[in-house]
Amino acid sequence: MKDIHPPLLNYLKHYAARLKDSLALRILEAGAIADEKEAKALLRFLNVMLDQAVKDQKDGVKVLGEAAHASDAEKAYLAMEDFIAQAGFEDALDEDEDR
Amino acid sequence: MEYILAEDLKRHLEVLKKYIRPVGSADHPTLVNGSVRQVDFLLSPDGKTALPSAGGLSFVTSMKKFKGLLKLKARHVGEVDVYAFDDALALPPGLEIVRDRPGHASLRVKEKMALTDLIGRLEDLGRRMERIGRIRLTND
Repeated sequence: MKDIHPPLLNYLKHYAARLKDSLALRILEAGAIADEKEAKALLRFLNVMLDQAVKDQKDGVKVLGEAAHASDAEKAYLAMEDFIAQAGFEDALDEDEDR
Repeated sequence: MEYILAEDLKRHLEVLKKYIRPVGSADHPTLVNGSVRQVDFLLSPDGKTALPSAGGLSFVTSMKKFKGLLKLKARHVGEVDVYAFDDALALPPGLEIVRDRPGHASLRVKEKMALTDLIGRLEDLGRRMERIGRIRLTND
């Protein structure tokens, strides 16, 4: 996860904390995915995060000092998908039913 | 803007090697709410200066990534406008485009500049990018 733009990682951690997703937060803090179970947990988090970001934009919520915009969550989602694939868990992406 | 199909982008991406940016039909091609986003660019602590970094404004460079992004956008917008440029376009000073991940490129700041300059340069780029067309999205 060292290649991920630090403000993008902060954005992901912000949503993991706000959504009280301790497993996603732990993975993001560790910067590594241990197994397929964690890869799937991260994908579930990304889907919930995007839905929340869409809601935040509609509600005019501020996120890390900026008016929420769903395109931020889309960018974070795609970056993490690439990270999951790079970590060797591409199969989890194919099984992502919310996608 | 003329309506097109997602498949129409195949030639632009695979043959012409363009950098593609789909945005909500109400959105600007390169700016959000008239400014830049923290998830894209690294700013100084006072927020007045854009600093060189590995981040940047996202563009897609493959059909797989393009379709993946459209699926995400379909969850909250009904239409997207598709903008593009290729390597023949002169980028504004201090900016560079880098193919940094499979199917993805980042328009990066390569030299420190005032945030107001970055916004102006992105506005200029947005004006000069090609408008390819508008795509209707569905949730299925």
